[in-house]
Amino acid sequence: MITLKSCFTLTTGNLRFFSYFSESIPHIYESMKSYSASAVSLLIYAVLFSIAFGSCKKKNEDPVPVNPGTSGKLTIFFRNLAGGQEIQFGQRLYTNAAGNNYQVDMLKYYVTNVVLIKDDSSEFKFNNYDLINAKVDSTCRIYGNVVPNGTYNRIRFYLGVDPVRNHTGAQDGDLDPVHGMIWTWNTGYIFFKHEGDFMDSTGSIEPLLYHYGTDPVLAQIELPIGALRIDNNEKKLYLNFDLNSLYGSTHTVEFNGNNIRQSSSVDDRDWLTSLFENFQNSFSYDRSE
Amino acid sequence: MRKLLLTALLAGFVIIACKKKEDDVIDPGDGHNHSHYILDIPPGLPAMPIPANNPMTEEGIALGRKLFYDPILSGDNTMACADCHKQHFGFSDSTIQFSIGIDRIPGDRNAMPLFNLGYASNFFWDGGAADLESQVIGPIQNPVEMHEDLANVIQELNAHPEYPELFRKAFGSSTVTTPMIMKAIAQFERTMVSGDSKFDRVRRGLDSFTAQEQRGMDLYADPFKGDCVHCHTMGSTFTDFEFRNTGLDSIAADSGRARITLLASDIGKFKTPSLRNIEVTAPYMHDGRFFTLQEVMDHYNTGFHYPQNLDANLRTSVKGRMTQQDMDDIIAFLKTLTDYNFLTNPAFAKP
Ligand code: HEC
Ligand code: HEC
Repeated sequence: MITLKSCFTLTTGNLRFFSYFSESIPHIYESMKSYSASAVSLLIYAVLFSIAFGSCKKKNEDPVPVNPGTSGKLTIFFRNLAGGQEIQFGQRLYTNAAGNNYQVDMLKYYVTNVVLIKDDSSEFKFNNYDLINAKVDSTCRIYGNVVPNGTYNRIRFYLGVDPVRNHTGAQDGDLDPVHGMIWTWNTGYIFFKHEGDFMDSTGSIEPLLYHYGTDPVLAQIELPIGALRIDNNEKKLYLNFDLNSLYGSTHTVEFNGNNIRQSSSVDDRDWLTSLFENFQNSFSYDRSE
Repeated sequence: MRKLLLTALLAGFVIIACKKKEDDVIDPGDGHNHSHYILDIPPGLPAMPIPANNPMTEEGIALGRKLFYDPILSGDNTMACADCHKQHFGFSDSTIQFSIGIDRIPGDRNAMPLFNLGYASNFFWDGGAADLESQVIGPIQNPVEMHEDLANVIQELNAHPEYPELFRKAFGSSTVTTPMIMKAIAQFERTMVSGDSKFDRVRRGLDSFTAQEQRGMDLYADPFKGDCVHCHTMGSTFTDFEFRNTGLDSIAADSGRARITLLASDIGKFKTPSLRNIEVTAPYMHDGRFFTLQEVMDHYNTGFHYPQNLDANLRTSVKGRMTQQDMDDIIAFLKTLTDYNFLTNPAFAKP
């Protein structure tokens, strides 16, 4: 069992680089971005802007906008497994579908743009950019401090960073380059990083270095989560991520001759596609309480 | 015509909107007024787009300039940006051979000259950095343990006797963060505008070409001779900012643009560089393989190979189409692109 410590949220922190007003209303900013070409859109802009400034002002006057009685809190926990077991770092304990014996020294990935979907298919967006570092429990959770009441039965998120945020490194929070999840010579985040080693077919220990990313393989994950009822309460949702599923379901990823991949060569494409398709099967709903 | 009018109107609108912005004073909430910097763009170069999230200020530029020349940014405090990007070489380097770690493909790349960067929308030979702000972290990092390096740099800057105050003046907060470093250097880089060469002065009627330079310019544009204009456009930035394979090798050692797009059709393609200040930015090409402009001319005249992705403009070029005189003339023309005022402008020198 992982021990769970307290953590920080970052639902809006990473948006700081957009203009000041949009910082407080990422929703509106996002929707504005998609209209942009026509005169009609100008009008829409104008209206949205005035709404935006209006709501901004209001927010400043009243720093506690939370309306009691209409929302609850949700913490989403990510448990990181290999073959169903909690990952123990630095030990060659795991065997993938190809039969390779491997170990994990580092496991990090981005979970962004979490969306909860209600039974009536309406959605609640977290607008989050969270880096999960499997070694640090406090990073393996995402907070929703104001989740509207209702019954949610699906969750959707990106494994990776969307194109809007993927092409500039001048961002803070979990997207700050200081976390080492950005390529040095290519502006783009490393969506997923597994570093460790494995025993190759001759019995010698070889490094395993998987850096997965680039826009075309931004993986969207959608999962059923039972019937999660938010009703002025505090809930916990537990999701599992299993490395053996990533390397075995449905494509089998063979480590021999395929152990250094950095999403930087035409030869990496098959590997990228396999992981991209496997990511969907690597996350699963465990329970909520 | 209607479309043109509309565009003109819109452009006017934008200019007015921009003007307004330039008069604004940036106040990040620290009660300190930040003076907006208005770029002085020489005639012949277009207006430079400035990203809304990083407006230029005197304070930001001064800070960026100081950082550019300060080895504090390298993990071991030995190397500043300016060590590879030297002003008198058009901010390129004539010597360094550069090797890399795990996050980059093997193979050396030649340091690129730095000027007119604000017009480009991607950076590095393969266009890997998508904004000027982002490319700053590349060189700061030790490629293997990058995060540790960056964290150290930030710690050092925060503990420095001068920097926290300079960051406060520029960005309103004396707690230094990675994005602030990136923004400051990018602001300084945007001021590095080069557009005052002999070529520009001739265009403005202030100077005149020699007969040889004039011949060289005509050959540069002649589709049956130099045919350079296809890619290195005439005037303005002297580049189309596209990625092209110029047939340097039949099998490219450095996959170039394909490293970013992962497309086989991009193997061996590199960003067309500007030819401004080309006289002083040797060695040439992404790997610095040519040391003289004559070698470059020989490549385009007879030396190029026929890899699958060879650019159509070269595929249809006849080998041996230029005489030695033609090549000498083109080189004479290229030398009119040297902007001595830029190369010696004290505003870009070590502060
Ligand atoms: C060790 C030498 C070295 C140092 C130090 C260095 N650079 Fe560079 N620079 C290079 C090389 C080599 C390239 C081309 C890299 C490539 O294409 O992969 C380059 C490219 C660039 C470019 C892209 C230019 C273009 O037109 O696309 C910019 C901008 C740049 N460097 C800025 C900087 C800044 C800012 C610093 C300091 C933070 C810096 N460099 C430090 C060697 C260096
Ligand atoms: C098909 C497009 C194309 C044409 C035509 C072309 N170039 Fe280039 N040029 C490029 C590209 C792309 C590069 C960078 C290639 C590399 O480094 O792999 C380059 C590089 C250069 C360089 C080296 C620049 C540097 O900073 O290292 C010089 C000099 C040059 N070209 C001059 C010329 C001249 C002169 C002509 C006409 C005779 C010409 N080019 C025609 C695309 C072109």
